[in-house]
Amino acid sequence: MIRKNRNIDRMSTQDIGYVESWMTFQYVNTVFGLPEDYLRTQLGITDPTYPKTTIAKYAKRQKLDRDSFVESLRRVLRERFITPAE
Amino acid sequence: MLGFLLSYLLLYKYLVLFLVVAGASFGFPIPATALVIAAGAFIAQGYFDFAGIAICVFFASLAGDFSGYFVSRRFGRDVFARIGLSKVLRSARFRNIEKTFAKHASASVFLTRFLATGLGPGTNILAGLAKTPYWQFFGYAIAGEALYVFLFLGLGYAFGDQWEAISAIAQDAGAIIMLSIILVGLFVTLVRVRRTRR
Repeated sequence: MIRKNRNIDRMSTQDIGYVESWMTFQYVNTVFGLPEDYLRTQLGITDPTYPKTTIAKYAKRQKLDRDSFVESLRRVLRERFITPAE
Repeated sequence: MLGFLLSYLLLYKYLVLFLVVAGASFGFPIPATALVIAAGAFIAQGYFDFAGIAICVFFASLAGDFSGYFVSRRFGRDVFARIGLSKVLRSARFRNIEKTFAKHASASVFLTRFLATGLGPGTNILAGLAKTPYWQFFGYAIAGEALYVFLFLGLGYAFGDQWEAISAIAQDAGAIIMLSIILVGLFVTLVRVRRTRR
């Protein structure tokens, strides 16, 4: 599922549930209007392919459970939208 | 399959979109229309720009169409002969199909670009085998693909939130409209045949 950019200002935590593993970090950054390094910092990503890699590929490379990683990414986004930093 | 293609669309953008759309127009069974609708949604989100995607989809569709048409026109009869089907091409039934297609070539080429797009590759092959004039095939393919680009990118842009549902509805609606046109055509032909028999 894809959400529209024009709703970003009022992005609800429910919208964050639409983040899926086929998406790239770059795409998530664009759609949610995040600074490029935000997810890297929050999730402790050191992979050099960030942000031009999919969430699924990253989880596989790091031997992480894909669904758990997607859930932790959603959690980071929820925290961001509850307390916007910038 | 679609999730896999969407990942590659996000990663390699225009290259993937071009290859998928051209491949589907040529005849490979790839869900290109769903990808085009998704690209429309990505435009609405600010991830892609409209002009770049529209140009990419337009030229990719034409590349696939023209390749299918050229290959069929240039090698179609030889291939049929090599696989032992040259009799089919010489049969009265195939000549009738060719005649009927020649009568409605413009409409067939134009309509299958954006309605029941699954019939597009078959139409390209038939147009090549029937040696439909270049200008006729090119002209109607260009017009039809221009409509395809604006229709499906526009659907994705307008209904970004529900692009998956819209993609399914658009393809079903296209198939229903195309089937209706074929049924009306068959009905009219049947009525004419009955009249001439009387």
